[in-house]
Parts: sequence; structure tokens; C-alpha cells
Amino acid sequence: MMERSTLQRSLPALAIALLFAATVFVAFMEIDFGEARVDDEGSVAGDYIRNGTNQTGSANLVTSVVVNYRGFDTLGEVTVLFLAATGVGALLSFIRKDDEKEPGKKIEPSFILNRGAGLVLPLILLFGVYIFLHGHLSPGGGFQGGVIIASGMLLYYIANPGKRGAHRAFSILESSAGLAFIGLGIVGLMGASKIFLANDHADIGEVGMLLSAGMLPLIYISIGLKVGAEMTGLVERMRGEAS
Amino acid sequence: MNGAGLVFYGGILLLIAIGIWGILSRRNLIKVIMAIAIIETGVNLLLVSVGYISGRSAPIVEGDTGIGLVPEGQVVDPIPQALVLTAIVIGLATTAMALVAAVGYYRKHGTLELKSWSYGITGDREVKK
Amino acid sequence: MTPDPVLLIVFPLIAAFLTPLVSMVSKRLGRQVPLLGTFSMGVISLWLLLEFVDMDTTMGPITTTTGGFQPPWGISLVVTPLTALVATGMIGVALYVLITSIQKKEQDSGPWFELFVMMAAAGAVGMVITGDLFNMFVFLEITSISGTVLAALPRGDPEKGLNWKGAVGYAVISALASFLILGGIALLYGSTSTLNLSQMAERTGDIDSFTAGAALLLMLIGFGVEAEIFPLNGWAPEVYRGSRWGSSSVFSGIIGKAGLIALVKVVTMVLAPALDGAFVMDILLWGGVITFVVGEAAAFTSRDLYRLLGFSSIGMFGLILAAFSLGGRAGIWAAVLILIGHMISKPVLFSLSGALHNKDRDAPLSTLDGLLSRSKGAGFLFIGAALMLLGMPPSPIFWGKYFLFTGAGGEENWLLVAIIIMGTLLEAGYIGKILWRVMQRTPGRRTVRLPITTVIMAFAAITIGLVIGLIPGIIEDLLWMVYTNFEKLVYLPWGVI
Repeated sequence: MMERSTLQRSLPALAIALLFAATVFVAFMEIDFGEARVDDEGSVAGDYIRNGTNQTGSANLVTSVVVNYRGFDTLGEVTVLFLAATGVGALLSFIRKDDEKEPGKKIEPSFILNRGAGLVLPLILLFGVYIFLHGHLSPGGGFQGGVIIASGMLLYYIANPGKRGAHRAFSILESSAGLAFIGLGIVGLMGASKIFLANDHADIGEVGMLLSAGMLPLIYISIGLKVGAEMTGLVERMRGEAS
Repeated sequence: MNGAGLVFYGGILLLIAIGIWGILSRRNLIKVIMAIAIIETGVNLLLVSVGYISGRSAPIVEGDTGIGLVPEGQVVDPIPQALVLTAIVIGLATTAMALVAAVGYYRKHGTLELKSWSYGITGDREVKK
Repeated sequence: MTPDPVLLIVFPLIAAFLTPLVSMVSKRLGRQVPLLGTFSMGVISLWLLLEFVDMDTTMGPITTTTGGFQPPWGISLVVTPLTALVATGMIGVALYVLITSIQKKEQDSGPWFELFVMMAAAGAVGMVITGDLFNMFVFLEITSISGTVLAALPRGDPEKGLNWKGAVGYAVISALASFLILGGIALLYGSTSTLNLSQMAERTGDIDSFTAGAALLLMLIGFGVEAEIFPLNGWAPEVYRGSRWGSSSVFSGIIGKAGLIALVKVVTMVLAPALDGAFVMDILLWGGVITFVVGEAAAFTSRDLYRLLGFSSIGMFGLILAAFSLGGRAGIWAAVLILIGHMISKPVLFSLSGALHNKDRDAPLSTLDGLLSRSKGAGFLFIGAALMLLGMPPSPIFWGKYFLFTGAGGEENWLLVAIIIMGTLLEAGYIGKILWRVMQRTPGRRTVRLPITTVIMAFAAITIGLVIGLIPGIIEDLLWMVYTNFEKLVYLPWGVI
């Protein structure tokens, strides 16, 4: 019986899905794939490409857009992540109360996992730091680096199931990094241009050098640390050691 | 409309169609959330595709260039890439919230099946007078 | 001196990041940080609003930019008289909820509720004042996530279980809606090569009609979910039914309004000019009307107090959308007045209901029986708010409906007039029903003691509403500015403070 009702529901669903997708497909037909719209006169992207390195000092144009031109969006994104991590923690704390009685089965990590994690973990963390430190020079940036760090921490937790998490430390790091981001923005507000998140308080420096692009690497460092701490905190909470 | 566009857009919309079909035809909460994640991926792909320019490469200025080098005419549109970066993170956040809500729902109601929502004009019968 | 509108976002974000830090030291103080953040938002918002009262009607919106570059290279924030008014109202609702929820006794709970109320308001304000379409999407997400948590918080004791049904419904549907909107953004960016709304408004000729139509469909579904428009509002009754009164107030007073304004903004600035404008507005108009009728009918047949209030909100959303779509001076004024009146009266009704019955999910209407005799204060406050909602003069909603009638009549749209009358009769029906219960004399029921914060806030809210309704001159100048600025929506935000 279950099969029948699923199938009965499936066919009209398929029809609706295909119809909807076809409509959107036809709509996209007008937008020629691969066409160089950035070369057009009024293209904002074209201006970013032409002026990006000069105006922001970053060699990675996507970073220029994410952290400088559209830095306000990134601030919102960081906030979304913060709210989600906090919200998940808040909701999970209510669920946790329900099943404290269930004892978890602890699986001892194997020898390879144990030693391997110890060897590999520092490399993973270093790699993550490298990624967010070089966000303005090579592909990557704060979010990518932070997630790499968090996945390293996940490995650590899998290899060491008994270890207690460092909740307060991560939470403090998370909040401080967020405040640092806003602080950098306010510097722009108080500075010469009186605009939030303006990049005019530090030397732009030479494009391609590590110390360049003014506050861009600073912001990505904050984001990298924040995302790393946040995702690690998320992993920890789901692991069952929520405070 | 060029051939590459047909393939790309068509493939992506097929993916989105699968996601929509999943939402409409599945009753299990986790499967519905998975279907939404598929749609999210599809939409992100659409956004990136809008920025692609044939023959051009990643919007990163390479080498020891110093100020002055302008990659005009050589790189793809950086804006959709930046947007998708943000959208992926946001998708993570929404999926996480939906999943936690699903866990809570399961713990309380003991099932992942979506009971029918009473929209309401006649749905108040269970309330005692 | 005009404050920089970016502060409307910066202040709550600072408060948000501070909240966990302060909570580590003292949970009680931690719960007050969001209140402080919301209060500072309110100061800025009110200040901006008063700037408009001083200006003459020809001056444009108050704008600012971010990132250090002028729009369209930097993301701009554009505060118009309409958005300043709506933002102030939203922050007012948030303050109402937060202040009324301050509890005397020491509690061990975290600052979650307060934090997410503030962030729902911050996200909503961001949505209405931003000048960039993708930025609007980001703020929508802030609002959505805050809403999901708020929807989960139940009436009564959280130990007995949260409102998972409501939360899951909203989380899933709003996730889908968000990405439909993103799809629409992809279409619009691909067509116009910009994300700045003003620039897009200039380039609507570049958008192919079919593409615009598809984008319209996606945006309608996406924002319609947040604005609780029929038939996309299936998630809403479950949220109103099960979550605490503060959360319901946030949904009806903040989140829904943000979705509505965002929808109107995107449609009027970009999508309607790209298609047959009048036809698009008609779609919105009838969508709003249907929502109004279905909502009021559902409220009329409701036997549960919270569902009644929730359906009433849905109905109001429909009416406001219809008023905006009607357009013209009458339509815009009607929309604004009904919006303000609803923002003032609904939270009062929710808070009084919450004070009366804070235990289970369902509250039969008999909860209200004899309220007037049990507590004169609560009774009068409830009656006042309910009458304000219905539109008895001197409620702002009375004037709003008056303008709606004159507007519809002016266009000789008698069908519309008839439907609005029918809906209002339904409203009168259920409000009359509950007021009759309130005024009954029922011996033997225990007296009601309202928390002092509820009394003060409810009284303040109703007074504000009465003032607006009695002396419309106070906001008449403002309304004129709202109207003239609305009509010239294709503005160039080159003026940066």
C-alpha cells in the first residue's frame, strides 16, 4: 500500500517539477552562457576587474569583492553563521535534556587513527591558517580556511573521544573575532571617508605581497578564526558535550 | 543559445527538478531536507554559470605583478563567485537549522513522517469549547 | 546632523556578539544586552524618521554606502520615509516584546529568546532599508534563522517540549523560499549585470519578458512565504498556535511585514516595469485580497485563541498587500495606516493572551470569559486593542480602511469594495465574539493579575495608536512624504552622508 501512494504522489510531483524547471530553463535561455557581459559599459563586475587590484590591493578579485566591495554582505553572512551555530546550540540544549539517560557507546579509536591524527592534525591546521592568511593572494579565504581548521578539529575529536571540549574558549574566540570584524568596519566609519568598512586606514601596499591590501587580510583572519571556532563548536555540541 | 549553455543550464535545471520532485513526493522529513539541499546546490550552480565567460580564467592576478596589472579581458565575472561563496555558507546555516528542528521533531513525536498540517478553516475541532 | 543608517545594523550586531560574552559572566545581564541593542536601534530609527518630518517633500531618501565605494560599487542603504516608518514600527514591536518579557525572578535560562528577537528585528530592518538585492537576501536569512528559533520556543514550560512542528515547518519552507529567491536573483543579475536596485530599475528594459516573468514567479513564492500570503502560509498557523506570545508577535509584527515590504519593493522597482505593470499589480492585488478573505474566514471559525489571532494577522497581511497594489495616494496611505495600526494592536493582544494563559499549546476562547470583571485593567486594554484592530475610530486602521474604500471606489472597482466589506464583517464577527466573552460576568473565576511591564507597555502602545488615529495631522506630513517618495522610486542614491 505504501508503494502505491508513493507512486501516486510521485507522478504529479514529477510533472510539476519538470514544468517548473522547464519554465526557469526557458527564462535562462535569454542569458547567453559564456557571454562576456563584463565587457559591457555599465557592468559593475567589469569595473571591479579593471580597478580591483588598484582600489583594494588584493590580487584575488573575488576576495576584493567579498571583503571590500561587498564586505557588508560578508558581515551579514558571518552573522548568519553565528546565529545558526548559536541557534543550533540553543535548540540542542533543549533536546539534550530529553535523552540524558541514553548512554553513548564509546568506540575506541584504532591505533592508526590515534597516531595518524597526531601527525596529520598540525598539518591540517597549518593548511587552514595558510588558506585564510593568503585569501588576498590565492584562491581561498576566511571561510574556506576556517572550515579546514574545523575539519581538523573534527578529526581530533574522533581520535580522542574522551577529551572534553573547550566550549568557553571557542565561544570567546567566536565573539571576539566577530567584534573584531565590526571594529575594522567602524574604523572605516571614523576614518577619512566616513564610510563603514572602508579600506583606507592602512597602506594598501604592493599587490602580491603578504602584507598588502590594507585591512583585507585582517578581516579574513578574523573570519578564519571565527568560522574555525564556530564550526568546531558546532561539531562539539553535536558530539554531546553541550554545556 | 549555444550548445554549452543548453548542456549546463539544462543539467542544472534537471538537478533542481529532482530536488523539487523530492520535496513534493517524499513524506520523510530528512529526505525533504536533502531535496532542499539539492535545490540549494542547483541554484548555486546556476549563479556561478551566469558568471562564466568562455575562454577566460579565474579572477586572480598572478605572479609578481605589483600595482598596475589589470586582467581586463582575461578573467571571468568575480561577482557571482562572491555571491555563491556567501550562498553556500547561508545554505549550510539553513540546512543545519532545518536538521536540528527535524531532530527535535523526531524526539518529541517519535516519527520523521510529516503529519498533515491542518491549515485551519475546519481544523480546530480538537479544541474543547 | 543625520545619523548614518548603517548604525541600524551595526548596533544590533555588536550587541549580538557581546551577548554570549556577557552571558558567561552573568546570565541575567546577558539577557539584557539584546534589549540594549534594540534600544539603540530604536534611537537611530526614530531619529531618521524625525529627519523626514523636518524635510520638505521634495528631498530624497537618506542614503549611505558601505565598503568605501559609492553605489553601485558599494552596497548602499536607502532610507525612505516609508522604510523609516516601517523600521521604527518593527523596532517598536521588538522593544515591546523584550520589555514585557523582562522577568523579576532570577532565571537560569540563556539569552536565546532576547537575542533572536533582536536579530529578527535587525534582519527585518536590513531587508527594508537595503538598496542591494543580494544584500536583501542575506538579511532575509538573518531573519529566517532567528524566526526558526523563535518559532520553536513554546508557550509555557520548555521542559515539556518545544514547538518542533512549527519550527520544522517554517525552517523547511523558508529554506526553500530563500533559494527560490536566489534563483530569481541569478536571473536578474544575468539580465542587468548589477545587484543595485536603483540601477536595476534603470535597466528593466534589458530584461526579457519571459525571464522577468519567471523571476516574478520565484520572488512571489519566495517572499510570499515570509509575508504569509495564501497559499504559501501553510506553516504559519502551526507557529502561531504553539509558540510563545513573543514569538508570535515577532512573526506577525516584524517578519511578515519585512517580507511584505521587500516583495513590494522588488516588484514595484524592477519586476513591474519589466512586464505589464498594471497586470503585475493586479496579481498582487488579488493575491492580497484572497489572503485577506481566507485569513478572516479562518479566524472567524477558530475556536482557539492563538489561532484566531494568527489568522487575523494573515488576513491583515493580505489587506496591506492589496492596499499597496491598489496604489495611488489612497492605496499607499491605506497600506501604511493599516500596517502601523496592526503593529500596535496585535502585540498587545498577543501579550494579554499570553499573560492569561501561558501553559498549553491550545487556548480555547473560554480563556477570555469574564476578563473585564476579573481585571478591569486587562479587560479594558484587551477591548481597546481589539477595537483598534477592527478599525473602530479613532484607530489608525479606521483611517486606513477609509482610504482603502475611497481608493477602490475611486477606481470604480466595486468588486474589491464588496470583498473588503465582507472581510471586515467577518472580522467584526469574531472580534465581537471574543469581546462579548470578555465582557461577560462569570462568577467564581479567579482574578487575573497582569505583570506590571505588560500593563505599562500595553497602555503605551494603545495610547500611541489613539494619538495617531485622533490627530492624523501628526503623521499626515509623513504620509505625504511616503507617498511622493514611493511614486518616484527610481532614485539615484548618489547622496552619501
